[in-house]
Amino acid sequence: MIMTVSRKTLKSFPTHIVVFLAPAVLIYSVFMIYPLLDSIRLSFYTADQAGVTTFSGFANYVTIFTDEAWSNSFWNAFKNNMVLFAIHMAVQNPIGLMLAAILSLPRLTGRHTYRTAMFMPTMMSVVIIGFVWQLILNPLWGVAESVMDLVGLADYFEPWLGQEGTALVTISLISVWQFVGIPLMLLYAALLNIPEDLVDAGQIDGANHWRIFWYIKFPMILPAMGVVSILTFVGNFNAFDLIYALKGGLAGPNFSTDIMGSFFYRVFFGFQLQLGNPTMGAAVATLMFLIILVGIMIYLFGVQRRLNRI
Amino acid sequence: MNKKHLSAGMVHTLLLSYTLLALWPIFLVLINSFKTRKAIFKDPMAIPTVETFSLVGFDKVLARSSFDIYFSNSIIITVVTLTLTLLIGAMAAWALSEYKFRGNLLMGLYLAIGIMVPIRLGSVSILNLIVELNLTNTLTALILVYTAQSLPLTIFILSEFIGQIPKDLKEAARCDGVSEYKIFFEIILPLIRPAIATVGIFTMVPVWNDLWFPLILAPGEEARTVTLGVQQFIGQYVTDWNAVLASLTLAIIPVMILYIFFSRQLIRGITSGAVK
Amino acid sequence: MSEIKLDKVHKSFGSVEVLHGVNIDIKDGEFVVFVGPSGCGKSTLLRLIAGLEPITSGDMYIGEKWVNDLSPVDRGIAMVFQSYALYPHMTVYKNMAFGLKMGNQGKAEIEKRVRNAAEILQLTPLLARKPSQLSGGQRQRVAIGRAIVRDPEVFLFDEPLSNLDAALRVQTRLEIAKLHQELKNTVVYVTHDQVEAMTLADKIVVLHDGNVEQIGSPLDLYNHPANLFVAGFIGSPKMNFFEGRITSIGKGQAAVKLADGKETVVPVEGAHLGVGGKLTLGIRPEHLELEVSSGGPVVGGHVDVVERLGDVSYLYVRANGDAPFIASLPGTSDVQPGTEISLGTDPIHVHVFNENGNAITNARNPAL
Repeated sequence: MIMTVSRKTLKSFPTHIVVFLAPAVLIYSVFMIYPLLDSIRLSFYTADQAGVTTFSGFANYVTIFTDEAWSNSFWNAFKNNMVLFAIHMAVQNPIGLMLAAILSLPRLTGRHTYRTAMFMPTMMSVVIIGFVWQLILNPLWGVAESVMDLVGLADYFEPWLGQEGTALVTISLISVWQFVGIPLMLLYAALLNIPEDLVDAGQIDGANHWRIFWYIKFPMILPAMGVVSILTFVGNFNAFDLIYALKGGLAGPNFSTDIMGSFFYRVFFGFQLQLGNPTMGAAVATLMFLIILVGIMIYLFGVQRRLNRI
Repeated sequence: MNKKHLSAGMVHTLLLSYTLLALWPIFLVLINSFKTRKAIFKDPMAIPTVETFSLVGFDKVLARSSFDIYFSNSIIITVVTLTLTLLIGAMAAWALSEYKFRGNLLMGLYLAIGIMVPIRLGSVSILNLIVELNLTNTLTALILVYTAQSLPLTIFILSEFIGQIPKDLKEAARCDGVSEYKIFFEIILPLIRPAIATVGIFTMVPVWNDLWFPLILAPGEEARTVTLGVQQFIGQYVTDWNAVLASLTLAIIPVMILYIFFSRQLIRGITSGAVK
Repeated sequence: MSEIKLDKVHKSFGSVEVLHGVNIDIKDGEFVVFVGPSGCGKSTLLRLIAGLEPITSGDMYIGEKWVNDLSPVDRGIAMVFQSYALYPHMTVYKNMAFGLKMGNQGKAEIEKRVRNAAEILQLTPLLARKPSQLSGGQRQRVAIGRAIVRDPEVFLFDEPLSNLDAALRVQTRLEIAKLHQELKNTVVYVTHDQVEAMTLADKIVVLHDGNVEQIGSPLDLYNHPANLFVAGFIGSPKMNFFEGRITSIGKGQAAVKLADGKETVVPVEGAHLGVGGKLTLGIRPEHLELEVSSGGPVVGGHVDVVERLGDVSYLYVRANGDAPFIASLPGTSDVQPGTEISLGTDPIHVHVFNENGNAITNARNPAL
């Protein structure tokens, strides 16, 4: 597709533009855009034992939404993913906002050091961070328990990662802990971009620090909040590594930590007794694509447009 | 006025507690990886002393797995991806922001799709493609996919940056009859060096840390990356605390050193609004 | 009553002292302009008065109140910022109402005051707009409106005209002057532009390197600059300086040998002077004339450039053995560049500064 377009316009096209663009467009098209489109195409096919694919229309989607085992798994993963997203929005972004607000206070000493330290976990591999927390929360080691003992809460310790009722929340909080750095940095940047004169004007107008934050600074960083939200959404609905590292492909206990990413992996690749099914996997990927697309659309047409009216 | 001073103590208490919360887990793993098994369990919070110091975990990791290979794999993948992405990304960014050709805007939008849409969603077809190209279990497969993944954001940030370069510089060169290639390689590339550093880190971190594509495209021992290597190793030796802690430490230390080295640049890049 | 009194006010940022003991008295209803080159501390001084920065030492009073520890809102001031500092996410109405809202004014009262201020400043049709939809001049008026609605005792202006184009600047300058005549509040106004200072002020405070160089009415500063800095800062083009040495001292006058070797007699009280001491003579360009009959100093040199502006001509003269100087002659001068020229002035127009750069009284006309 790309080839025909460029050939048609090639004549009127200065060669140097083609030379500059071609490598990037080629690699990007072949290894990103084509697979995304081809994956959508594959989702309308089924494969037999020999691997021969035949067109089957919406059969895969019908299976996912009507076959009880499939639809239970799908909706379970979707629901868990929403919980993951909700926890990030409710915990990660407010904490990030709070830390950013504090870090952007004028004449704060040690600003660089704090920033560097707080952003460190964000730079690490999700897999590594997952294991670190798995060790800490491991009752065998007892580190978490003894830390809680310091504040007199030892009795409340439980092996949260292993229990069906708490595993998802625990994993979400580990992810929050790791990625607080992202809202922190983006909101911090937005806060720094607010002219100091506005804060001075707020003071002259008789607003205290608290009111200056809520009436003046906060409305001005709303666009950055929008960006943070959509990044969180896409990141969460694309997450996989943490679940796989901590819980493997089965996202246990009893699929209680299964999210779209791990569901996709299991369908596509299979796990233990379950056989992998690439075309079904393509259908799940396409559904994930649609979910992310809906999120982006809500952001672009609902949130961002309203915010940009400033 | 006094409100400002009043809260100074509280502000630092808050920031310090969060800093502690952010660093303590990593620190804990680092110190315990240098202790004997007994000391790990007896007093996890203690810093290794002469009696408790032990490198047994590292010995085990190095003996039982090919961490050296994993490291060189990860380094090769990251460095080649980085070089490729920055070079061809900068070229495309230059073309997009400098030349007003037909379809410029459309091309920009086309290249921007990948900023928001995760490349993972195409995994099924990527695997087919890699199998067809006979590239399974090769570093090349990962490099190609990661380059495709990194290009959109790189092009986006670099075009913003190139757009800020004063027109006069290029016009002056053109008046002197310098070719477009020379303008790019000899004037523009050196000028965007600060941005390249920032973009470089943005590219590097997700590539180095990724688990998904190594798992799908190159799970074999010879092309295994550090992240996948650690994941597999820990899965295998989950009960050997010395080995687990040592493998985590081996994975953490290089990233940490690199981060401390470049953190200023990275944070300046983020806060200067390179990403919006 | 809203006089302002600064008593030995010091300000340091860390270990750097930027204001070294400033004493200023501002009377109720006075329009005072702080003027000085950038970095002289004038904006810092304004921020101290506003309460945006704490004073390091010294005392400050607004009205009868000692305000050192008062927050901005308790000082009865309102401020217009150089950047206007309008809240970008609020409409013009909300921008003007914000301070009142923070002060817990009733809705009706806020509405009344905002409408009233909008009326004065012709902002009524713009009340529903956001700042981004306004022109520079309109933003400026909103910034002033935001100050007016709070009915402050003191208005503070921080270089309010510097972001406007030349034509708008003159117009807004006039509007501010008119506004002050109507409202009669005390105004403290910071600028680096001496024309603004001269045209607006009842009283000018010249600041330099964190010190007050001189306080006085605009004409005071023009006619009696206290030192070389003020002499050079006030007036455009700036005053010419000629260095010389005292060769003899008589009663009420001294003979000075200028750098070009010529001797001239200046009318100064010689009591503190000694033969051989250095003096600097200051002559404003507009006081130099082609006739040299008046008995005052004569300076000469080679004319490099002549600028003819119609009503006035500027001669750029490379002096014989001294720094170049400028002469401003009325009308269209027929002096050609490249010629040699001699210019003189009436002795009463000669400012004399001692070695330390301070003015010494002109004996011929001590009241000048």
